[in-house]
Order: sequence, then C-alpha cells, then structure tokens
Amino acid sequence: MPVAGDRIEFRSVVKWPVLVREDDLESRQALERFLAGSERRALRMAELATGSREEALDIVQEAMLALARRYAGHDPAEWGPLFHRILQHRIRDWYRRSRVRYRWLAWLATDNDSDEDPLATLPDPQAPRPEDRLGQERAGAAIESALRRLPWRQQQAFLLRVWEGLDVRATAAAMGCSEGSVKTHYSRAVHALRALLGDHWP
Amino acid sequence: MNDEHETRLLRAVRAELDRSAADLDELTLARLRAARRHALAARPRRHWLLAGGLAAGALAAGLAAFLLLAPPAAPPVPGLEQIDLLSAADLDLYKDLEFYHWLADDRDAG
Repeated sequence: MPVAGDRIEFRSVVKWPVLVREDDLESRQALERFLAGSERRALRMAELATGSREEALDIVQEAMLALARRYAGHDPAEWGPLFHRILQHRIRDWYRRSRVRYRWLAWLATDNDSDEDPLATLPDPQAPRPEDRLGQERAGAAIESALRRLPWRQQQAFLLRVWEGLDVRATAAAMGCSEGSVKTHYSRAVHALRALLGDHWP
Repeated sequence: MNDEHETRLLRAVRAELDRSAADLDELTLARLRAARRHALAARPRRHWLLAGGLAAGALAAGLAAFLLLAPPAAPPVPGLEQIDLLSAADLDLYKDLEFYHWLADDRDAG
C-alpha cells in the first residue's frame, strides 16, 4: 500500500503512472553511489589488464549491468565483493578470448607447476616493449609500465589487495581461486615490482 | 628491500593509481556515466513486484467477496422423476375432486 513519501512518476512509452516506493528510490540511489564510487578504479584495473581503454569500458559496462540485474536487491555491503568478482570474470573471459589470438604461447600450458593457472604466466600482450620503457622517465609512467608488465593474475591480485584494500579471502573470492594462490600471486607481484621499480624507489 | 622501502613503494603505486583514476578524460567519464545509467535502468524494479502483489491481492479479495456476498443458491431443481410423480398426484387429485366436494357437502349436511 502507498505510504507517506511515495510519489507518482510517469515512466515508459505509454506514460502510465507508476507507483515508485521511497525505499526503491533509496535503493536505486545507493546502487548509483556505489557504481559511481567504483567505476573509475574498475576501469583502470580493466585497462591495466587489457591494455585498451575501449576493451576496459566494455568490461566495466558489462560488470555494472550484471551487478544491477542480478544483485541490485542484495545487501549493499555485498556489492563490492560481487562487483569485483563479476569484473574479474569479465577480465578472465577477455584473456581467454585473447589467448586464442596468441596460440603461439600454448607451450606454457605444459608447465605443470603446482596449481598455478597457466594463464597467470601469460605476459600482457599490450605491455610496452623494453625499448619503449627507455623513454619513460616519470615515476608515474614507470609504475604504469611496471603494472602492465605483470602477468594479469599477479596484477589483479596486487590491485585488489593494495588498491581496493580487499583481504586475502575477499581477493580469492573475487578471483575465483584459493587463498594460497592469492598469496603467491601477490608475493610474486611485489617481487616483480620491486625489481622493475627499484631504480625509482631504491 | 626492507619493509620500509616496500611500504614506500606500495604507497607510491597506490598514489599513482589514484591519480590516474582521478585524471580520466571527460569523454571517458561521460561513457562511464552512460554505462552506469544503463545499468541502473536495467535493474529489476520493485514497483513491478508491488503491482503484481496488488493485482493478486485484488483478485483474491474479489473472489472472497463473490463467495461471501453472492445470493444464496436456488433450491435444487427437482429431477424429472419427481416432476412425473407430482404430476401424477395432481392428476389423481383432479380425478377425485368431485369426490372431495361431495365429502365436504356431506360433512356440512351431517
């Protein structure tokens, strides 16, 4: 039943008056705030993973759409982990499609080292070549370059832990892997960044 | 590299990432806003659920009102057999009507 605060809005093509509940409006606003607060970092994470802003925009849009369609009614506290999980799935899908284009790296699949995902060892195809790095003097550019050079599983584990502030468990849930794998990916990422950025932060 | 150096490195990386996210160009931001609006428009709306609930409630209320307020059912129509019996009894009554008149006159006279 309508309650105080409800209002009539005209929506849809035929302009039928539709009763919109106040709590529905609040829910919409909460979801909008969440997306507005997450979209830039999500875009940068996807961009670092794919090396393409266009691809990143598509991935973020798909992730937003999936979250809104499937999980808008969930507790807002769950949106963060759910959104990152969707985003990681989309990035992984992108990588798998890209892998088809880079079949010449298939020999990596023969590496049976522990439970490591063979995809984790794929170098970023969009990473700047070493000679390109020679012209990157600024620290910001060096960081961008170093992050792009990380294998994407290491890169995403690092970003989720350091930038998004997720703990190991939440990162594992978002990436769909074990907590042990997250620790391994993160440790290797930090090690690689230390090596790549040692000149800037000795 | 010790922990202090590592902390400095991580802080620098985080700052650079924050800066890059804050400095996105206007076209990219517009596309993000459009994507957000698109997502929000696609979310299931509660008022559709509310409309469905109201419709189901109205249907149930109407059915209950019909059952409670409908006029009482007419007495059952007699079967064909009973109609025949009644007709037969009526015919006997008409046949003996002269006898009943005589009986009544006789009782009055007596």
